[in-house]
Amino acid sequence: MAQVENLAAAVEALHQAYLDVKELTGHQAEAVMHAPTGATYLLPDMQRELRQMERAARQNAEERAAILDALPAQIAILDKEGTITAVNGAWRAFTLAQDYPVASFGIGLSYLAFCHTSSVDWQHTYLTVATGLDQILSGTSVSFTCEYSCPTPQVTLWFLLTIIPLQVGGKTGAVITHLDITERHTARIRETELRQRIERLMDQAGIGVLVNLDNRPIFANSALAKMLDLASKDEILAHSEIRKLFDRPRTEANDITSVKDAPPTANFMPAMLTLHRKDGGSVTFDVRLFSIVWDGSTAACAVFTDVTERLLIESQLRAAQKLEAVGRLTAGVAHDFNNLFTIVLGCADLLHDAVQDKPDLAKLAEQSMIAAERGADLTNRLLAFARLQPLSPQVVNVNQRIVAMEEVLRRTLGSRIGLKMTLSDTLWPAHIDPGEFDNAILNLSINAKDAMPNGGHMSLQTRNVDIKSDSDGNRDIEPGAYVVVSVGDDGTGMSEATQAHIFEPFFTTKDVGEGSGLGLSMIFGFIKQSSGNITVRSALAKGTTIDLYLPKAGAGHA
Amino acid sequence: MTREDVIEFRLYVVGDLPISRRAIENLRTFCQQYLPGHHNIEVLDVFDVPQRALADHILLTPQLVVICAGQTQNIVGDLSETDSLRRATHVEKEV
Repeated sequence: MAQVENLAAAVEALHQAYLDVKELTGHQAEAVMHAPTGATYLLPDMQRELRQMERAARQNAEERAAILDALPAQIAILDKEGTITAVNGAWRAFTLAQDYPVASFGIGLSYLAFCHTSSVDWQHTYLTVATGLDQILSGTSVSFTCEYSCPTPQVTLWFLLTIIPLQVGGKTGAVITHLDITERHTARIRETELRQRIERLMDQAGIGVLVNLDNRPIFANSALAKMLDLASKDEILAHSEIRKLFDRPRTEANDITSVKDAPPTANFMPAMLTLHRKDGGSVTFDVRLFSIVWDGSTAACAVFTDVTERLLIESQLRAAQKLEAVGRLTAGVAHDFNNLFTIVLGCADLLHDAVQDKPDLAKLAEQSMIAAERGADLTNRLLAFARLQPLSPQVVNVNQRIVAMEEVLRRTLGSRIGLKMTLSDTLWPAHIDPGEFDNAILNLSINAKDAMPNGGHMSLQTRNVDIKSDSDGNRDIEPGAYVVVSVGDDGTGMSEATQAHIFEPFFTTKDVGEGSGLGLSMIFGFIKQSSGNITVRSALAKGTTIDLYLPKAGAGHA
Repeated sequence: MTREDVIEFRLYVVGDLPISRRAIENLRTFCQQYLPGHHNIEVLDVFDVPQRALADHILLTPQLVVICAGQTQNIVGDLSETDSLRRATHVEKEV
């Protein structure tokens, strides 16, 4: 009992001493020392404080470990020597899954040594990372990142490696983070592949694509650049406004900048679009327009289909069909008329013989005969156009025939028109009716003369032409070997409208009574009937050149 | 005090306790403000060096030993009151 009382008294004295210390130091002391022994006693307040601090530190450490474990990246903490001192859950899981031959998940190992054992294909990355880690540990750098691949037996993994410094007890250690970016990496490769694939599709599909946002070009494909004869699509995108690209009056029907009416599904625009190419040519497009969401805005996407060639073929086909129809009609009429004129001529002849004794009547019969002969001549020329005249094609040296006609041609052309002949030395023989050929050349010379009322020059040129099947620009000429005779003048030339009709019978630019309008029609019929072709090149005030494609003899033309 | 004098400070603390920490901060602030380049601070934990503490007659922590111009003075507490520091180091109060 006395002991308890003694103890109570001692505790009371201790407490009083504590209160005195606090009082004397103004609550500023944390510990007291016993001078003879050197023992240090923490004051009760401070003991409680210390315990709380320890608890807080412990909790803090647990929380930090939990946070590190919760992170998807593999994290290791290194001391100043680069030795692994701690790792997180993802790190432990990874080393287990990859079955690395290191104990304790690499804790206690040099990090670089650990890396060295982790991959066979590591040498280059190992050196890079070693340099980066050295710089962090020596304090010359505050962060290091690199991406590297890590082949595993199953698949090649990609990692983003980050090293940042970590102050441990006044020394610089490091935190190493490995983030698995395999998925991102794969997605990036796939995205690149997809983009390249789509770009290739876009560029090879033969359609031009142009997206504009409020008249500003934001996407174009190479095909469009090619159609416009531009070096690259960048030349299109360099424009601030697509209106500058399509320098022409804008109308409702061809405004491809308007998204107001751009439907969600592609519609053909009512009007075709004809643009001038950089090389001076022109190109015609069918345009489809639709709206497309682009970076949150509604842009207008125009899809261009080049229909220049289609239109050309269509017009050539139309012209050919028209001549064909006229030819058939002419053939039918001319045939019947020819028969009628034969009867009229025969009867008039008989009549003429029968009335020899009556000069007045004989004169009338004679006039009937002349009229019937002229009628028959006209119908023969129509038959020539309709390709129904009897022809006697032979192997003909075209140059020889032209040289033989030179004198006649010079007389026909007169003194004010010069004749220049350029004849090929190696010209093939042609398979053609020589008489009709002479007629054709004479006829063309007369046309040339008429086109040069103030004088000028006519050229006669011969050459060999071999037309390949894929040759452009001669679509209506069958592939094969041809002897080409060109008759050119530097006269008035013809408008495109006139050129479209020149082979039609009775079409003439000469005054009424001056020409029959059958000259070129006959030549056209004769050449076509001979399995050849005839083309015209003409420009107003520059002149006209007619090219006769005569089949090469023995070349097997139908 | 001449400019060449360096004042020695020995601050005895216990672990990382709040008053000790405040004392370290206050001493550093004081020295940077009034004695730049003329001070030398040594922070000592009495648990680590009890013999040195006894030699310096430390009975309470935190306690600062100031050695200035041959004189040694001890100051107990968190040093938030700079008057005693000023007196011990002969630093005139700023006007």
